Amino acid sequence: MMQNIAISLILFLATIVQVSFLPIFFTGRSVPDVTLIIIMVWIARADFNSVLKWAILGGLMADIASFQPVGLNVFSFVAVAFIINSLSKRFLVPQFAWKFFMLIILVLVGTTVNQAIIGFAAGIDGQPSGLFRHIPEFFGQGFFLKLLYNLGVFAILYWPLKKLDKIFAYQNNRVVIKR
Amino acid sequence: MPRKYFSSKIIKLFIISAICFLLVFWNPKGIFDPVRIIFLEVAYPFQKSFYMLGRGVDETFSFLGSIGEMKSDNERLIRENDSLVSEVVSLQEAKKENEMLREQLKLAPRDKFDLEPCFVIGQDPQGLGSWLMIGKGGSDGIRTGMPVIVSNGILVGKVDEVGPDSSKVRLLTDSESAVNVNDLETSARGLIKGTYGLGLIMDMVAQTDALNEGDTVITSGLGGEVPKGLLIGRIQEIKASPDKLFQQAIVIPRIRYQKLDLVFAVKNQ
Repeated sequence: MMQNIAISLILFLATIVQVSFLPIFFTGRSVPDVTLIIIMVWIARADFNSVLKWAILGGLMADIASFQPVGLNVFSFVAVAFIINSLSKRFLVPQFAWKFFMLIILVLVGTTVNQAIIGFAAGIDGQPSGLFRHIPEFFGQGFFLKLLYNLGVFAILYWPLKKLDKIFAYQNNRVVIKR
Repeated sequence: MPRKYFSSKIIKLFIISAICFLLVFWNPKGIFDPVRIIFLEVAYPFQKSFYMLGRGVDETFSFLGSIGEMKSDNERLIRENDSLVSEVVSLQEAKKENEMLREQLKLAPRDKFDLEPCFVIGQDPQGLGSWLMIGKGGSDGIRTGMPVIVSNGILVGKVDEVGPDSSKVRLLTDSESAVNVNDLETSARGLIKGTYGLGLIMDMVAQTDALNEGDTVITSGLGGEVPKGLLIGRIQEIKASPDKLFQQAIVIPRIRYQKLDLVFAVKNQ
């Protein structure tokens, strides 16, 4: 129960930071996707089914806080979680340096997929000129900056989230022993 | 066993994707409004605190970055001050003339607007639609469609959605924003539109109307929602519309929307 509350709180604060704190420092489309990075870190370390509910909750919060059609970020987060989880199962190995390098690649892939879905969504406005017409705008200079910033956010969040996982795991074990 | 797990994962992905697609394409109006209102109500104090903190940090870094330039700035400002003193005298004359002209053109005097000061508490993080979130809502008399300006009469956008304590302001740079405007120098009429957060375009200007680079663009007051005479920006480039029927002008906004922290909702024009 406490874990669920803590994770919900982390996702809530990440959403608020993304909407009300980071846009002051990062221009246009280069604002880092903090909530998405958190989901990516978790999904790379855990199994899809256990992180799925958090991907849905994070996406829902992002949709509501950023006034987007509800479902857009939910779909994006779940799709990214699925891809990252599938890739991490195949490519992540225990060796530290290689694992971290692969995680960086996974963050880049996740960011690209998310950006493509958001760019696609920008075309859903009933105009006949095509759903894909805004995608090039979402892959301009701002996108490369976003990749860079997302990597920075990943580097900052990776170890604290890993530590948190260990705390949760310790608490779970303690509960089991008590029983 | 792994095969079974994999298929259950794909089934879940498909079900969630189908629900999300239905929600996004069907876009049921108002179905999530209660959830959004509750979320915004809970998020409001956090958003306000984080935005204030962000502005504080940004200003501190800007200040630290500018320390090296202060000496040269000081010398330049002393020189500028001398020339500005003489300009003040001529501007006082221009002020009188301006008041007279505003009266003749029936422009609402800016100090007569009923303005509701609002702190900015959030911004669009993804560039999908350009918006600001302000810390005033229905309980403060904010209504959908109200124009939002900065203190010196520069139009920022219009209130788009209203919550109890916060509201979403659709910026002029949003792709769905459209406001009737005039070229101040030539009186050419047009419609200012946003281009996915990238800038402003003055569109639908008749080929017979004159537009010049550097001209000032102001609101025309047509349609009644936005008062006449609010400043928008300056024309940077003029071109023909893709169908060659109209002229278009790229307009540089007078302010950087990203740096706003206090705006005013015009409650009564």
